[in-house]
Amino acid sequence: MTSAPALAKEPRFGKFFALLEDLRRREDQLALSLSLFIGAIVGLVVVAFILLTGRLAAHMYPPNGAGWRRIVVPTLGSLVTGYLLFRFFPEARGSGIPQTRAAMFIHEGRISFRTVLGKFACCATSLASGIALGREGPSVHIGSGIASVIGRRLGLSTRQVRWLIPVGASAALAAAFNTPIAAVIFSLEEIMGDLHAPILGSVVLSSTTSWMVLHLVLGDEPLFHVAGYHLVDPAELLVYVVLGLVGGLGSVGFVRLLLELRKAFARLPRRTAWLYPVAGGLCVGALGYFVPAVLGVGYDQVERVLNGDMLLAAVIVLAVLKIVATAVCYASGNAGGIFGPSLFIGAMMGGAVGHVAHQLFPNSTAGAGAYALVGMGTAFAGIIRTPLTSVLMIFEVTRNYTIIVPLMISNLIAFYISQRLQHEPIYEALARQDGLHLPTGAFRQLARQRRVSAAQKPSPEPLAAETTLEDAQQRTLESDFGSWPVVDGRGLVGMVRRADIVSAVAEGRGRSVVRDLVDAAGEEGLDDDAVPHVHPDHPLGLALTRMGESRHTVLPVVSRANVRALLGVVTLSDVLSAYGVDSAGDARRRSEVPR
Amino acid sequence: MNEDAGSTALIPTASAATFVATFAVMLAAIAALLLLDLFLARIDRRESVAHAANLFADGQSLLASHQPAVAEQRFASAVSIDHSSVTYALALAQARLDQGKIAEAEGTLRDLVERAENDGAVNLVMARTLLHSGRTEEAKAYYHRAIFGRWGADSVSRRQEARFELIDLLARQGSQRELLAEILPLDGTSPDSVALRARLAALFIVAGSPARAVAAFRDVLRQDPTSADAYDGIGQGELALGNFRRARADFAEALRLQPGDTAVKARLATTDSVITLDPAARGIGSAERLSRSRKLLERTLAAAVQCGQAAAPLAGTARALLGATVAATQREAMTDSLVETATSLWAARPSSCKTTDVPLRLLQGRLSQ
Repeated sequence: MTSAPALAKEPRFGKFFALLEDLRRREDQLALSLSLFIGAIVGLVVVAFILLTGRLAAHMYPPNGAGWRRIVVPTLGSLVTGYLLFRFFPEARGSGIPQTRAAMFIHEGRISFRTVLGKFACCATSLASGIALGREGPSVHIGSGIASVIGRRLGLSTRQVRWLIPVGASAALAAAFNTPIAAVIFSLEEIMGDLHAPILGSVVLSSTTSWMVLHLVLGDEPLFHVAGYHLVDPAELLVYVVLGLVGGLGSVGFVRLLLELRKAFARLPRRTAWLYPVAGGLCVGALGYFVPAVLGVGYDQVERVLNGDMLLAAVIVLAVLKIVATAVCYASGNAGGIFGPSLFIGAMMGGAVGHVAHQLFPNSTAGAGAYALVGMGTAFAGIIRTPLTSVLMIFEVTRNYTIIVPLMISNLIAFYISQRLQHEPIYEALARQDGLHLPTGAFRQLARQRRVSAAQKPSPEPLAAETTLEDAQQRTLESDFGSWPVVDGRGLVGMVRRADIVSAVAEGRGRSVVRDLVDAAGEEGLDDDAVPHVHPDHPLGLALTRMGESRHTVLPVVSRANVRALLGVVTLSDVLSAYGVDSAGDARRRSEVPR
Repeated sequence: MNEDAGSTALIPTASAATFVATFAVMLAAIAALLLLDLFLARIDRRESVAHAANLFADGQSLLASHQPAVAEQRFASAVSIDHSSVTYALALAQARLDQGKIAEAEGTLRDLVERAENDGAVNLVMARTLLHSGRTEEAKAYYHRAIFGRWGADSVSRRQEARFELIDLLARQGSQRELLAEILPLDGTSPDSVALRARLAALFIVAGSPARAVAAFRDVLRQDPTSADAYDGIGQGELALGNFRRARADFAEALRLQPGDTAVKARLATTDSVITLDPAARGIGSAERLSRSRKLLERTLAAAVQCGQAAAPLAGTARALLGATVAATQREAMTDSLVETATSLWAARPSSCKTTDVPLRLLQGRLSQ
């Protein structure tokens, strides 16, 4: 077989190789070209994922199949995938959105090929077996993973590999939901956290390529076929306001239940974690035995309620059961996302509100289907917290433009309620439970300012938590640091002020240990309030704020991936110096200010 | 690698060989995945279509065993699997319509009409649905779209079926002009079908076209000389045309062929009443003619009073004429005045005022021709 360099010497291939070499040397152009390839590959992989999952499900649940299948299949499915996830693919657990964001902001754009494979196999099996989770989050993880693997394989810079993550995500979502515009907005709004990101072109290219692939293979079919709805009466907007309230409260309830259950599962012993997904399988199986519509993502049921084809009692029961089933399935560690269940729950809540409204005001309200349609977006905005994406997504999923104004009103109300009652968005909360401190929306706005890394310096040798105060006083005597990091076997546990040490020794408590003077970090990592800390990409202004709040003049700089890992410290004088102010508070000459 | 390299141009660290190999692998992966996807999509489509067909068949048998609610669920499932099938969606709409779920049926049909706007069956079910919700004018438009729409096999009879549904609607409404416009295109079709000719002939009467009705019934008689219905129909046509004696003969023949028909008996009695009231009948003397003219004016005046015309000037004239004594030499002139006043008085009645005096109405109809 002729090697590539040998081929390059042949005249007929010479131009081609020259073109490739030119492309190789221009990373920005290369990344743009790669968007097309990533869009095509991710689109094809996601289509295969959808088709395989559907076919597997059809074989696991044949028409007129026995009732016992509805208990046994999800239980076995969760058992098998639970073991695989535990033993071989620990990164493939859950939705995939927090993991994608972690890859973007913490792991330098790295998602392993093993994780991609694991996500594909485990999610296909678990979703086909009837686990009440969605396919869209995993698709995003798979898509981003493929983009990451390609970028690293080509030796792109870390920045460029990171930027390929939203490119893969948008391609995946465009194919999974058949929503190319919403996919672009989601990638920028949720994954990047910046609607003005400079990678817009690449994200659009990959999304449209993926969408074209989807159409080539599966044709032009929207996710849901919905009858045309419109606003019957201007007064009907009030009912949509009520729907926004119900959707917002329902979303908060769902998110809290899921987070609390997940916290409870996290307290169980880690060595038997492979068994916990079975709890989700058993739960959904037991519910599905009596109400089969609870099984799986349930898009057929969503379509029925969208077409006003379900009774009030049925939509209420399904909304409640789906909330429980999804929360248990996700919290117990099954593979699958919450996009699809959010739409299901929202459609049922909307259907319920619509039924009641239509019974009370039959002449001035649309049928229940219209409310189910708006409810989908409302729950999505409340749970996922991406209001712009949710409006566009509902528009694209249903191709129904007439209901857009009520949709925006309900979405914003649900979004506002969710923000007020559940401060931390679900994906950030999930990541935090895993010990990952993802950058918040507020932080991302400040991220363009001066960063902590600019003022960071190596940490002094930390004090061991069991050091006596006398020894600690002796060790810190010669230092300029006003506060010292304290560590134990697990890593950083907090900060201690030298003044507190001196004062305790003077009071005769010299034999006590340093740990007594710090607030120890909890099991889940550092507590922002108890132990102030900063990350290297935090803005310097935040370091000042935290110093002021904690009265520490030195703060530990810790890793986002492991908040117990001490990367360095930042001192008040260094922060002031970075701003061009000396420790006495005088501004330095202009020429001395670091740029 | 510097994360914050910013605008600095970076060169990927992969060698040229790795670079080329990676692109080659990507192209190969695209080709392989495309083949895999097309294969999977084909299987998926085949199995889904088969499943939908089974559900549809299930639904039809459930519908036949009078379980429309369960049948509707089957049809709905079939539609959710195979959205492209007009047949499944139409069955779903019809099942919903049969259960009185008008709004749901209309929702399904609206979507269907967008996709298959020229489909005759879709438009026909839409027309039926709209008719159920009382939107007659919209329903008529959809009936027309059904009549001129696309049908599969047996299109002639399906179109005719749709047109007859519209005709029945127009007949119930009493819209004679529209009705006639729908019947006339059918007049030239299927001339050999006795039942169809008889149906059309009867409709011509409802549409206010008795001459066409008589001609059509005569066609029927040519093919079936013993048809009592045809004689009855001809009688009705002749009666409307004012040919009372011919009408009587036809009713008598119909009664001979079907002696127990009470409707024909009633129409015969009415015809006799008209004949005995008719002042223009042949073979009667001037005294009898005068007497009938008086009766005609008396009954016309009574009808006018019923319609609130008691104080009208013509009513006063009528009363004066009825009170006048007539010499033998003035009988003919008096007869003409009586008949003329009666027709004027009848014509002056408000069009909304209906009389229960059928013989009078028939006679006045003839006199006004």
